[in-house]
Amino acid sequence: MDDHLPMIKQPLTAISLASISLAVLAARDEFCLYSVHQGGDTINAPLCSNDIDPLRLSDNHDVRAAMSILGIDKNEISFKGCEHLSFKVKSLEDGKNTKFEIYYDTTAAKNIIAPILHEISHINQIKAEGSYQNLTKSYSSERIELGADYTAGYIFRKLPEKHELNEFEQNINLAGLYIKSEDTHGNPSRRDQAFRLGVFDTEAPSDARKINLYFQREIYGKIN
Amino acid sequence: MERSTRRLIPLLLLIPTLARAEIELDRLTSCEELGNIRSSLHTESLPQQCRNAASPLENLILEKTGELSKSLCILEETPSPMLNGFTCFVDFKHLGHSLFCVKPVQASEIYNYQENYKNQYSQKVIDYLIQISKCPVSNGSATQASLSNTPYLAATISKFQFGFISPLGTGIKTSDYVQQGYATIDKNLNINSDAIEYVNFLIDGKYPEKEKFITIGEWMLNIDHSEDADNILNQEFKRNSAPIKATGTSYTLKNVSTEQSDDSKLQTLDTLINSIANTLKDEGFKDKTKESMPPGGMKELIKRVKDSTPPGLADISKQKIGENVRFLINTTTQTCTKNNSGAIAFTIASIEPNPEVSSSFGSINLVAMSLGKCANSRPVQKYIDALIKQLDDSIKNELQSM
Repeated sequence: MDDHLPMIKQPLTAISLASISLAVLAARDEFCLYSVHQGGDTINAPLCSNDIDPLRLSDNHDVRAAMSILGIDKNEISFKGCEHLSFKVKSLEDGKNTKFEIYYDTTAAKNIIAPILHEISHINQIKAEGSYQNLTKSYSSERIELGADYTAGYIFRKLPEKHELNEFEQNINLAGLYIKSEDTHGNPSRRDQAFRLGVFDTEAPSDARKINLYFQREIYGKIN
Repeated sequence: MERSTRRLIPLLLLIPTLARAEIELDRLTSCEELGNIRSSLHTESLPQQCRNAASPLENLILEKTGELSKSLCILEETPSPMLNGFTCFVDFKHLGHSLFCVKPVQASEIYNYQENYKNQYSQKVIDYLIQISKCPVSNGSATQASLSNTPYLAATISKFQFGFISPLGTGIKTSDYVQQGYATIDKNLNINSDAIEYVNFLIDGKYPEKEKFITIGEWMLNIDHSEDADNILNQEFKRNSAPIKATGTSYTLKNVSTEQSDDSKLQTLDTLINSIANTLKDEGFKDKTKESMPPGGMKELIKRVKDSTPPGLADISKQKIGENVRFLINTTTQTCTKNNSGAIAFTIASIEPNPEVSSSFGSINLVAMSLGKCANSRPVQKYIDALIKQLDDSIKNELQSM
């Protein structure tokens, strides 16, 4: 749950990630941007158990449904959970195929689905653009983040099991900031708007790969 | 009134000014009080002892609200303890039943909140929104307020910074809400306060009608003849004893089929504006655009319009006013124009496309004005209505040929 998110002084970048036993696959790109790293006085290094996916997200029915809604094969994504680990996606290249690894904070517990859907939405964006590089070349960090919030809203509407809109939205919202930074996610109000537009927009394309382009062309400019 | 009480009044009026500004994350969790205020507004049973504006802030709001201020009542007492320290304005006439309560705060507190949001406030805000949503009076989907939620009275004097909004009632779409917001005031307004906090109730609010577009080839066109804006404008003319009657129309364009550059989109708008102007010229109207420009020309005219826009509304639209504004007048073809006793005029203006929305092609706004003797003439109004229909057709034909 978000209210148990830790205060971590330094970004959980290389130092923290080094403590995770990575898969054999070579990590190429990591991002997202839905992060818990922020100012503070303490560093809580990720606490990882031998269990790679302790919350069994690969078998979670909401997560499976989200992948199905976006047309992503379950074998394309693996999950890695540790205490206090930043939520993020890595794209991993294995010869011809690109696979993805989603890192998550196990302390987020029952409220983990919203940020995971946000991360899965990033994978949808990468697949639509062809690569992580293409995505970041085409759009600013804020556009990418709000696009993922919008797509998370789109998925939320289509999930078979219904969740509380308000709590779900707030679980995504944590990384919103009023101060612009290089990896800005947009301010909290803009993040909420993007998510709700995704939930209520009935004109979004049914082809999941076209959602990000639709968001960038038609929706982003309407958020204020 | 007791003499001792009277002597206290100046002190009481100072309280809101002296109140320490801070971000209060508990206003919208006073569930019972919210429910009571909502019920009173529904039934118009709110105690309404109105008083005159007393503080610079209250005077500024009335001054900037113009015609709408006539229906505002400044309540002698706030309707609930949760609003102690606020000045409350109630309005039962416009846009549903609304209660707007405001107090001065310090802008530094707002900036402090924004700068330290992540570390000091984000979790508190999430908890706050979840608590607000648990109020029985809420529909359960409280969220961060956005710029476009800014209440009109706040927008007339200030710029929205952040806020929280809770729809009241049941179901996803409710017609009531309560909002808490913080906004900054331009220092040039000189009212000894640089920011406000407000709590705003809107009860029985109306949702704007969804624009209905007709398809013409690859174009989508919305023609809006609604009279809401006309009525406000005409009341203002009446209040000032100006013999003018206005009839407005707007044409909004979209195209989802083709990608076009911003320049190309502006050219499309220009083509349509010229088409409207030519139709009017064929009807005997003379183009008096150059003669009616202020010194400084079109840029000065647009600047004046911008300067008169309330600060809180200026940022809502990302669309600019187009520089192709036209003014055409007819002083000869109608009976009411004899001996220069009346005229019919059209202003044509445009709103440029939203630069960040691919399908947006902007809109054209027409205002037909009957002046002098023509203002109260039924045949003239019939003539204007028929002319506008003709203009609708000319726009459609132009789009068909593009």
